[in-house]
Amino acid sequence: MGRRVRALAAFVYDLVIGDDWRVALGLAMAVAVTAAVSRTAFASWWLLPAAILALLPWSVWRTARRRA
Amino acid sequence: MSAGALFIAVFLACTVEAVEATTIVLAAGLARGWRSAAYGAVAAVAVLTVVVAALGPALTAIPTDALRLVIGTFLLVFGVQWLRKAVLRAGGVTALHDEEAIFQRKLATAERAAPQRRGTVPDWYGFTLAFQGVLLEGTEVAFIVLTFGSNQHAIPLASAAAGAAILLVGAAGFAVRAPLARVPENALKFLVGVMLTGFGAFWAAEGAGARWPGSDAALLVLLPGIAVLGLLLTAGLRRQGRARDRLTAAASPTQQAS
Repeated sequence: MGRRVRALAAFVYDLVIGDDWRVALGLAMAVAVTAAVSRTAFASWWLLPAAILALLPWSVWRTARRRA
Repeated sequence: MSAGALFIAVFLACTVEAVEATTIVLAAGLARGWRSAAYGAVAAVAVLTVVVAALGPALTAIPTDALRLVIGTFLLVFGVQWLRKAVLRAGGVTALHDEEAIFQRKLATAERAAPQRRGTVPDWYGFTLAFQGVLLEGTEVAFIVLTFGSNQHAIPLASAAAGAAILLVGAAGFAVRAPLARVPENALKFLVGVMLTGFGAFWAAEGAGARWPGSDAALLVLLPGIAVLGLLLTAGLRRQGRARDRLTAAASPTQQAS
């Protein structure tokens, strides 16, 4: 039973978080910052595109460098 | 998001997963018999249908902003991971998903297992192989149907798109009785990664209270922008790989001489 629960947890982790948990964490933080900034008078729509622009290349280059 | 765009997005995403599931069902069918493989595949589709039917109405009852925030964030994370994988594969950093090799491995393993009848299932190994394959690949299909469908309050349309993709790919796989190795799986994965990332960011930001300039029209900039970013990263990785190959080739004669 414990083995099945662990396998299910591993499957869900792999499905949602994937290979790089740092990207998932970074994106979740960006969503939280967007929510916080949206409560102020400042525009917040650009925060998630900026997070993608920063996190995706960072994660890709990190993986490429490790495997080179 | 129009109904047509929703249908295309879900259809393409489900096509990728259906190709992978079909490879496993084909291996189970050819090695262990079609009846058990068909039972397994149908049982897994039934489980997934129940999951979508149970969760769908519950999700659509959640207030739109909260739903968009949660679903959008999941979709964004999920999409960036898909896009990341597609870029790494296209850039030559990781191996492309080889359906033919996966098929041969599954086939070889399935042929070695001993037959075992259980109830009306003639071969339990063939049943579980097909069941697990369809269930695992299908979970992503269910996730995409639920996220896209609930956000647009169009779960039946998203389910229809998924069903069409599964039927089309399943029929093609059964007709040729071979893995669908010619389907440009990574290109599809790239495209779907762009769509999941774009829609995820759009909905997550809206759910968090942000207002996009131009409202829905912002997607017309966001989606191509993400695609360009992915293509630039792929080009950069390929250039880096070629430069490394040239360095290795240049170093080889020197090493031989010394």
